Amino acid sequence: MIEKNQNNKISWVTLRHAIAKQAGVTEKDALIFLNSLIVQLTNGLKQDKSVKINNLGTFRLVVVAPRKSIDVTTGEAIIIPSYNKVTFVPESSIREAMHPSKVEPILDANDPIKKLNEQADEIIDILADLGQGPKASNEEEVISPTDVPEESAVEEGVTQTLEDVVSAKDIQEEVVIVQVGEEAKEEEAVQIIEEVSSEPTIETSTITEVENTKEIDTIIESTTGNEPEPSTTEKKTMSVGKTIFVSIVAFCLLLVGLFFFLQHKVETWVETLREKTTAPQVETVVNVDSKKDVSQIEIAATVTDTPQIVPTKEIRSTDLVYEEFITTEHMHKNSRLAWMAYRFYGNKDLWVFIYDANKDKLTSPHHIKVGTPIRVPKLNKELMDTNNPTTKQIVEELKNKFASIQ
Amino acid sequence: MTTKELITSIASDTKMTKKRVESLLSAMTRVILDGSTEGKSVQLKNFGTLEVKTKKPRKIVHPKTKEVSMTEEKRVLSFRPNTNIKDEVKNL
Repeated sequence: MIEKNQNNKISWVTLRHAIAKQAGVTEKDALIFLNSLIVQLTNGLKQDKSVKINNLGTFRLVVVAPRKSIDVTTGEAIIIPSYNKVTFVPESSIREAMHPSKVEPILDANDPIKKLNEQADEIIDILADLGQGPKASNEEEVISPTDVPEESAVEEGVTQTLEDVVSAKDIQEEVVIVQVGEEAKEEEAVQIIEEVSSEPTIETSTITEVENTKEIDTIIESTTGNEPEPSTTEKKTMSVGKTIFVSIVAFCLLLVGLFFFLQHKVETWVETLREKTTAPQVETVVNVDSKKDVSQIEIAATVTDTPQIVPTKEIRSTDLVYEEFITTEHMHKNSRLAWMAYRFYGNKDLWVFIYDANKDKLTSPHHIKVGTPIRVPKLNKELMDTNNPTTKQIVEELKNKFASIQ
Repeated sequence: MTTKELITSIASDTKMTKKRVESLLSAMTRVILDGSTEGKSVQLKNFGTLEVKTKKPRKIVHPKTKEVSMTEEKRVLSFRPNTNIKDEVKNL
């Protein structure tokens, strides 16, 4: 075992002892090995810039890029030159070993496949119970499928009762068999036995019928036969499970189809509503201006569609007065008026208003000194709307005006 | 340099067989692994120290769901090179 150092540290000497003990060599050999290892590691780093040790990690030489800094004593800006440094990247096995709690297979508890299997088993059990329910209610059956193997174990050879055969079939078949009269029982039994004989695992030689009141206890004595297959109930339950699964899938598909159908319906309904809401506006215009030309009607219709675009009063670029301001920002190295406009107004083209509001302090929109305070004016909704022709006109005017400034 | 090359160079340097060097190297990795899992640092003379660092839990935000959660505290094996090695490789 590793000797424990008081300082929670494995020293060079301790490492040497531990390696000698682990590898079964003398301490001298271990020391020679360790010294050589360090020399080779250093050489490897110098030559190949990386040394990999399996199950431990990789020592790598990394280049640190030159960077700016400030001399603490003088306050002068200096550049720290590029240099190399040694880094170590542990292997994934080491990383995992450092976290024993994470290695624990937590997934097993929440394994979805396992969970599904458990659920499937539970469903199979429930279905098996349900499948056996009607059997229990019918008094025809006395020998349950679980009892049959016991009897077969006692008797010589393998015996299989008719119930086994019946259990392999659907419940409907059972009901049919039960409903058949006593005279017909023999024929039914013979038919079913013939079906069984078609299976390669069971060979029937003689059939003996034993009647106990209303029960059908025809025991088939087989000279050379295998044990009755216990998977018959499982097969039945699986088939029931399959049908349930298929029905669920079909129901889901139906729901999806219904969803899309309804969505389509809603869309068409919305469209019709829209048409209804837009149509009267045009109609009213047509009614009012029925005597005018068609071209005039069209123009009127477009105007009624976008009533907010029409300016209430004409504004000129020279009339602009900035009374309210959103904020004041100081220009820094990467500041742009256009970007400011985008941030505050949502459109880069509106930078002209910012410049216009600050033109008393600024000589040119292209050359603004770092640190200049810029007041961002508050614009009314009409000016902020770039689709507005008045706004467009003002912006164009201001742009042309400022373009001449160098 | 790969592990194979390292073993070959150590074997030629120490006049040991490659098999022996390999067993010694694997013994060393085992000792380091055992020590580091117990939270011990391993001193490599004239080279540096392999030490266990504890990373504090930190806040993380899921980029898609913007769900804020905390990471677990974890231990990492890191290497602190010796000053001699630092100087040797600094201006290569």
